[in-house]
Amino acid sequence: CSMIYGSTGATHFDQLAKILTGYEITGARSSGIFMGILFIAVGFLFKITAVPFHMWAPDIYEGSPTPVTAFLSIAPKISISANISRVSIYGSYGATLQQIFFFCSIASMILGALAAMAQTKVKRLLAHSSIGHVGYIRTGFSCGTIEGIQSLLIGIFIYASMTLDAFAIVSALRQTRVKYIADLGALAKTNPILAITFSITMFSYAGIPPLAGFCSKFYLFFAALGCGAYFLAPVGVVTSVIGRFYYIRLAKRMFFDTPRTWILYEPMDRDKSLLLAMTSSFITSFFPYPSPLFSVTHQMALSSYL
Amino acid sequence: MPLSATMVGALLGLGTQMYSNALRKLPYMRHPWEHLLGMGLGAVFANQMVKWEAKAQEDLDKLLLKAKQANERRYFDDDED
Repeated sequence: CSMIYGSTGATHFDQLAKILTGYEITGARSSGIFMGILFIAVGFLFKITAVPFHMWAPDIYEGSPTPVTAFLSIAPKISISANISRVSIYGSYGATLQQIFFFCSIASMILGALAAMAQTKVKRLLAHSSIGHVGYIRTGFSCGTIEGIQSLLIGIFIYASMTLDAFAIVSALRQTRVKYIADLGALAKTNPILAITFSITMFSYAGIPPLAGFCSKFYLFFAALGCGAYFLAPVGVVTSVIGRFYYIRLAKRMFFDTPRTWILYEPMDRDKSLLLAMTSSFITSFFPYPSPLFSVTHQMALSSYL
Repeated sequence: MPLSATMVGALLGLGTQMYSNALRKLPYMRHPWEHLLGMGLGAVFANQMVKWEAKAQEDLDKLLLKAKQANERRYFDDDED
């Protein structure tokens, strides 16, 4: 911020937009402006755990208490996406920033898919999964179009509900000392409804129709194709397919494997069960009636351009 | 339309409460007054959602018209703004 102010003398978004629009081609290049935009982008990407600034996420997600991990997975993604849309789309969007975000999207999608396959702990798996999802969501922002911003907003909303669901399940399972993926064995025998809920959440993360996760990925990749990012969309599709391996592996563990040590069921409290029921209902019932979310996100995206 | 929204909302609320009981490994109809509350809240939520969606669609149409007029002004009338 200080470098941009030092190079331009402006802090207001309107003035920055007038100064920075097309600065790469007008000859008014300044290393201060470039470095300022780069540092702001890097700071934002650190907070949303985008590759290559994702290193902190798996260890912190694993070590923190589950409610804190849930907060860290959801709240920064929403707030930073809103922040970055205001600062970058309005103030300083250009080829520099677009290339940075394209690279980070592709790298996050690939790393999220590949690194999660090697995980043995549930929370670390969800951390890598959230890194991959940040890549998908950044795809929408990288486009720089109204459809891109709309798909980003849809993606954020659906990602927030899926992540709430996933971490509510992890929090319920933590009561029974479940830490490793192998401990989930035979959850289908001890608590079949919880196993079904977890499976639905994982299938939604994987982007399997007719769940909400499919709608968000569909819209994101269509927005990428619409803006001409013909490499980004196929990479997203391929990494989604690769990602299905570890999501479906969780379902396989719960339904078909025997655990190393049998975990006894402990009753869940009402708040968690209600939260799980509401978020699962949203994930399963979004597909037939997506129009309210589509209308409001279209409005939000348009208003950032007008 | 309001009748179907009410019915769908009530079913959703009832289903959510039964699902919540099932997650806690309780009988599905334990505390039936909670199911009634769920049905009521679900019906209210569905009706409000339908009304809100209609309003959001109206606002979106106005915004799209405004964007179209702004673009016509910029590209056809050579407006600098």
